[in-house]
Amino acid sequence: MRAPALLLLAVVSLTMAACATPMATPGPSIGNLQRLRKADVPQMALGDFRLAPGLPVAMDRRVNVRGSTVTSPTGGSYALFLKETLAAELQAAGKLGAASGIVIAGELTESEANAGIDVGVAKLGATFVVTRDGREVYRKPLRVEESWTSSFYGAVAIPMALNQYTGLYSKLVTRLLEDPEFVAAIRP
Amino acid sequence: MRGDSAEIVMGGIMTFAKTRLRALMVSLCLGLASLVFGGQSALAASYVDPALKDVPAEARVTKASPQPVQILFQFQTDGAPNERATKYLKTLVIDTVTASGLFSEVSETPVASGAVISVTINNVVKDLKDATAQGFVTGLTFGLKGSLVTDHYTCTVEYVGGPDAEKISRSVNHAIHTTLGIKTPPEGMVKSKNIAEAVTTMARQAVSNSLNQVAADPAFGGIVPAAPAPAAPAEAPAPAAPAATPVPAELPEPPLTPAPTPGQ
Repeated sequence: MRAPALLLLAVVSLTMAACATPMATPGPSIGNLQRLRKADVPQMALGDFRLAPGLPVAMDRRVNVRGSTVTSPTGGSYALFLKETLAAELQAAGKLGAASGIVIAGELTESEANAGIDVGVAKLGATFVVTRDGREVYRKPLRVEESWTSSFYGAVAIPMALNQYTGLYSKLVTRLLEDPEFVAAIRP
Repeated sequence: MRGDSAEIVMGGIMTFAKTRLRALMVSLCLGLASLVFGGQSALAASYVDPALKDVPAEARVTKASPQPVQILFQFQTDGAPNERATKYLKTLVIDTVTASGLFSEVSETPVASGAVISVTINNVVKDLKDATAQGFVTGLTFGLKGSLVTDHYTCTVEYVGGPDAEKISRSVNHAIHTTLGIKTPPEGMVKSKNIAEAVTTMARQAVSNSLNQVAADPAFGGIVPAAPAPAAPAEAPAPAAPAATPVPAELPEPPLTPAPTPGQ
């Protein structure tokens, strides 16, 4: 009687390992670094990044993957994590300047991760706004989505999903930096 | 590498998905005793695939006047960032690039010339169902029916000499084989002291080989030895051998019985 119970307990712990993990610190990519340098754009400042109006606060704080989540290291806000991801790219390229008249702001519009038995899906979206000396020159909603082969086992499926979700932040920033309209808006 | 054994366990084996799952399944069946060992199981042994070795001194590319370079490094699991492993291996990767002598300084911040080197090590996860099943059986038989799990890695080094320079990119494949329970290791393997040593050896060899291949590109401007010794057996038909060209998305199984002469 005891053995089956222990086995069941172990299986449950494998499939439902609920916890909160800090998100990986954003790292710049050589692709974005070169993209920024080749575009010959000036330094930029970062403005407010927040949850888009009308959306539930929980969207900015928590994605739920089988009871587990990742927490943003920047004030617990995913919108601020997006800002940090963009800052890391600009910093690595030498394009981040707090005194710049070009200011990028963002509103988080979508944040989701699911780890199914077979397939996992993660989505992230934001509306980016660029102002030059206070005048809006760019506003565009952008989104990225990723799917992958998931697993029945929580010990595998949960970290996989949370890693994939975290990776979307770099991909969304890449989507912004490679947008020709964005580049045109920030060029001197 | 630095850090106590707990950090090594957390930063090492526990970051590599396939091995972790197998160890977990073994632990599940072995019960409390192996849980005490953090799910790693005292029955585990790790082997770095011998198909890829350290770059021999006579094959190393040199640079007449090394310049500073900015480095970016990321460890990935199936293409997604893995911060724990990135932190664990970052110092080793920077040290390996520095030790190549190809750069006068390796910095994490931008350098005047705009030169950048990016190192990515991707732990490719595959056959999870098979790993699960084998690990379960190993645990259920208390290790009497052992199993072998292979973690595959693709290391990509990309280099740009400046803002307008063309990117040079090279990738190599590597692998770590881990036996759990009573299992004869693949022929020609040299056992690592522990999983931490296996991981650091894998990373050092993968980075130094791909970096040397980048430096051998004419666009890099390095001095290539007249008759470079191959870093791996020429006829190794496998993913674990260095790949000068971009590696395929789907990796074939690495050779488990290659080198007649083991190891490093």
